[in-house]
Amino acid sequence: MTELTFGVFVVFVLITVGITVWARANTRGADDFYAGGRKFSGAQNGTALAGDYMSAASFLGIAGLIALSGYDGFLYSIGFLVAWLLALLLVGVVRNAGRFTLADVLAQRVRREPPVRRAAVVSTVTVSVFYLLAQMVGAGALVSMLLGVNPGERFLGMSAGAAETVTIVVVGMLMICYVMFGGMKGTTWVQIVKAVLLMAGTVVLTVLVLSRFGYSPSAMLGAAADASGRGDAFLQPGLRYGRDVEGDAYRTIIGKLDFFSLALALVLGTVGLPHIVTRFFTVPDARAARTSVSWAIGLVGAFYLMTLALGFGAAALVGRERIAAQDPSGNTAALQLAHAVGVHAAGEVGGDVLLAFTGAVAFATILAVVSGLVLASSTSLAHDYFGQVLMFGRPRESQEVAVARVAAFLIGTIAVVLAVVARDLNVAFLVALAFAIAASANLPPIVLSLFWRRFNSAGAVAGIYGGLGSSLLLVIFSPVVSGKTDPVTGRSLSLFPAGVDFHLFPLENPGIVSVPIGFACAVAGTLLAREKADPLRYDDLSVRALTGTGAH
Amino acid sequence: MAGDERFRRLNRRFRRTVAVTAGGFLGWYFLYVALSAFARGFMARPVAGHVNVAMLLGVLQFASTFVLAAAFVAYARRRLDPLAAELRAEAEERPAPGPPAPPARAPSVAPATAAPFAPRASDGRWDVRMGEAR
Repeated sequence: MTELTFGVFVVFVLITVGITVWARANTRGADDFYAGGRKFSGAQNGTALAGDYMSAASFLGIAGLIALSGYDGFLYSIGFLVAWLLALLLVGVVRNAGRFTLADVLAQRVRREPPVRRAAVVSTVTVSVFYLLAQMVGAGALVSMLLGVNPGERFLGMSAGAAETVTIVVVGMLMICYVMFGGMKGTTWVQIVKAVLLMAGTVVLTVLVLSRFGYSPSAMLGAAADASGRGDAFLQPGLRYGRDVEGDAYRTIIGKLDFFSLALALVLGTVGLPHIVTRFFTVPDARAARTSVSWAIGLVGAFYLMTLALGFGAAALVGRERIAAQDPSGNTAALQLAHAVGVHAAGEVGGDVLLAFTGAVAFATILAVVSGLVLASSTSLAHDYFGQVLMFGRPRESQEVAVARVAAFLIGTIAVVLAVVARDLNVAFLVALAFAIAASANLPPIVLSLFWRRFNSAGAVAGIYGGLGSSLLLVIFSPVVSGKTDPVTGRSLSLFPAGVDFHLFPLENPGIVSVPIGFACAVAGTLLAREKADPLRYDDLSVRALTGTGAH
Repeated sequence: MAGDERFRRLNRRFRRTVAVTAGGFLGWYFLYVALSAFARGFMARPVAGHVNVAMLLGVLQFASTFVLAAAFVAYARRRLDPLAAELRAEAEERPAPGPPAPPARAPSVAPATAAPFAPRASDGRWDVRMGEAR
């Protein structure tokens, strides 16, 4: 079975390597490497955007969350979708105002560029590396899950631990190749292929699941509720987020605040994710940029609606106990479901084939998403730091692209090493943290530089570091890092083992505090600095952003 | 161009649309989140079969996202794009006079003069280097 997964995955890799070779031959300068030549159509870029966004955390994670926690998993996915509306509102002006990166948008209108660029590089690389780490560790875990679905199996003759490390290294090497050689053109096409595969796989699974319930969603929900052992509560909010703790008003309130905090970070974070923002620049104009976000909304929305069928289907057809026994956080639910519906449709062979295909799609998903992240951070390092700060905005183009390739190699290597080290740690919180940092550090400067005439470089720098620092500090002193234990078994649910407890901040998600801090720092920095605003530059920026005059 | 009445109209329209849409969907989303956190009895009410209010509102969030997105795109095409295209066409036909702004940093650099629009010295340098207009 794992050999079959391996085979399907190898086919995907061969196709994508072919794309990379083609892209390498067709990548000439910075516009090609960073922005794919700005020639992608709205539909192509929208599919790639959706591909960037639908990570393994969405595919496996949300299906698992629904399978274990019922309605609350769905609730989680809604925040991810609604966030795209904000992206749609801003994408046109960001596309016109910027060139390759987030920092390009901010630097347009400030008097002192270098500090703003440096700050943007720091936050871009931090967000990308955290997100990257979560995905790569997930890739390793996926192997052991695939092995675990059929226990006792060895992966190409390796034990599970060795297979995990090898997977992380192979995924890392592939992503470095895609980015170094393929640049934005290669990465976009890899993303499109993966998005199509993922959508196709999800549609097949959804149809197979619904067919088991006479195509009646209501019957599926009923069966899931019955099988869950929680009855109707399984179909209502409250099993996971904002839980009511009987007789403990403090913990109840904390739980609900935490839930609001998560919702805030999800809905505001998307626009600040570097690998999403860099993708806004791959289309010719603002109108195509809006079309691409509309496509992304359609695809992402359809995908999350289908995860309802995957999650509740898994709860009904596989059962919570078997899912939780396989993986306590439910990440195997979609795989176990694929096996179950496959067996029902075409016997043991059908189950194996569908499981193999689903596993391969999950690998492809991880691979494509990590490539997007590496590209975003190497673009930022090479263009913003090397090109604009070190070389005073006058690098030779070929030089800058060479630096971007080296940066991709370095960041990729660092991510592989970190992921191998963090292999056994519980790093799932890093995705939510990446969203929180994006919402607190990147969103305030974007919004203020577009809409506030007085905004200046000090404000941008203060906003970025304030939002980044506060979200990091709050998370370090939160229960996700230390002090959270399972009340029944006493096992640690935090990053640190049980017994280490230095948590001071009660919420697991920093957003509700760090987003206001980010905005407050940006405003305070602007008002306190002795730097005069530059209304001329602001006028230039508005004209350019709204009309596209002089946009790249 | 920033002083042009048509540009001011475009700017006003854009800001108003963004404010109204963002306020609307964020309000509606957080209302839904608040109901999920605090009005669990209401959310638990059955609507049809095993579908309850919570499920219905969740799917409505999806529906409203699709509808709002389509509405914004249509509005932008009808009310924002034509105005923007008109202003851009005029600006590109009659290029702005050479940039009076001195180089932002690094005074050793020769100021750019060849950029077709050259709103900023730094942009001009890029354009000279890379020999591209857009």
